[in-house]
Amino acid sequence: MLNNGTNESLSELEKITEIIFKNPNSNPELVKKAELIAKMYEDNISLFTQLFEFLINTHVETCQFWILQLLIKITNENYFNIPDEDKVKFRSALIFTYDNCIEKIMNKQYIYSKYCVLYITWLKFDYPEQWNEAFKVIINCTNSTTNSNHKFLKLSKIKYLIIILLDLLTEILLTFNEEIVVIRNNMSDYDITRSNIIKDFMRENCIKNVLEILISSILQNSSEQKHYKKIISNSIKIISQLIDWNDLSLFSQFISIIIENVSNQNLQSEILIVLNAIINKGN
Amino acid sequence: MEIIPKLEIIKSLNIIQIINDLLNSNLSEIALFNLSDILNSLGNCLTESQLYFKDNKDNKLQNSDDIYVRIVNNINVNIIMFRSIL
Repeated sequence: MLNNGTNESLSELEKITEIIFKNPNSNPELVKKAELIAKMYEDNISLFTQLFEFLINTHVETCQFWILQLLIKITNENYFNIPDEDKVKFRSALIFTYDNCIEKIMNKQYIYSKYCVLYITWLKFDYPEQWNEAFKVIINCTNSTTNSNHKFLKLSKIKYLIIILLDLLTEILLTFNEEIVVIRNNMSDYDITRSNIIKDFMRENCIKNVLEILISSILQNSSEQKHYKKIISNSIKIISQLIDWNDLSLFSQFISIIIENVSNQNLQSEILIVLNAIINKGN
Repeated sequence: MEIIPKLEIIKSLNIIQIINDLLNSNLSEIALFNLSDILNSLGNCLTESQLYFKDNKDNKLQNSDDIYVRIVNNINVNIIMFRSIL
């Protein structure tokens, strides 16, 4: 069993996850051990802070993935058993990793996809009643990096940080659509109710902030630049998703601008998806 | 969203003309699929319009009627063009 909070325990977990993800059949004993470790954290919810510490400290991607997956499971199965003071710690840990470990998270798609699912899973239970700043806080992270004077950072480093912050923000919003907005056959009544509550609160309180940052990322950058192409493409996709459940007048100014770019081959497909969303709105 | 304001938006954004222009340009395979979705959606919009007009003969529909006729004509032309490309 892991020793709480020691470097040895993290290195042990790193070794186990590396082996079980690379060759799960090679060592059934280790798979069993990983399951026991996971069970220990599931049974002792307050130990989630240690999982975040491991996530922050490890550079082993399989270990990052395993920890994120376990945090998602703990959230899904135990959110209502987590004491309020621990929920505050959980939110802080989520934001701390967003703000301080973004380079590590964005290094691999399968890691940031898991992080996005963790963020949205927590948000599904917690927003807006307990955590009404869930969207504003990640928008502010991006805006503060864009607007502040980083005297101690090189310009190229600042640009890189802005790109990955925008990238993660758009990935979280795409995951939000997938996990919360899209109604699937297997969704429970609870999930459908949560989806409606969350969308209602967003309409009233933060949809304009979300749109502002998406539109500025589209207008201030060029899809010809390799790093921005994905961000702009994702931003337009998100806008097409938002059209369905928000007042169309919010988008009127933006829609005319993007339609002007319909001949841009880099963005044509996404712009056509926006047009389709307008025609399909309310259907 | 109700059909009349939707028709107004389709008209004001000049969506039919955009589709016509795109059909005359070089489109990627994925853009062709997106365009196919749009034509399908316009077809559904058309069906919804026809039902609305059928059920609301006494309403003030002069402007919307005008848009409706344009959509019918243009969609037919577009579908013929689209099929010839595919």
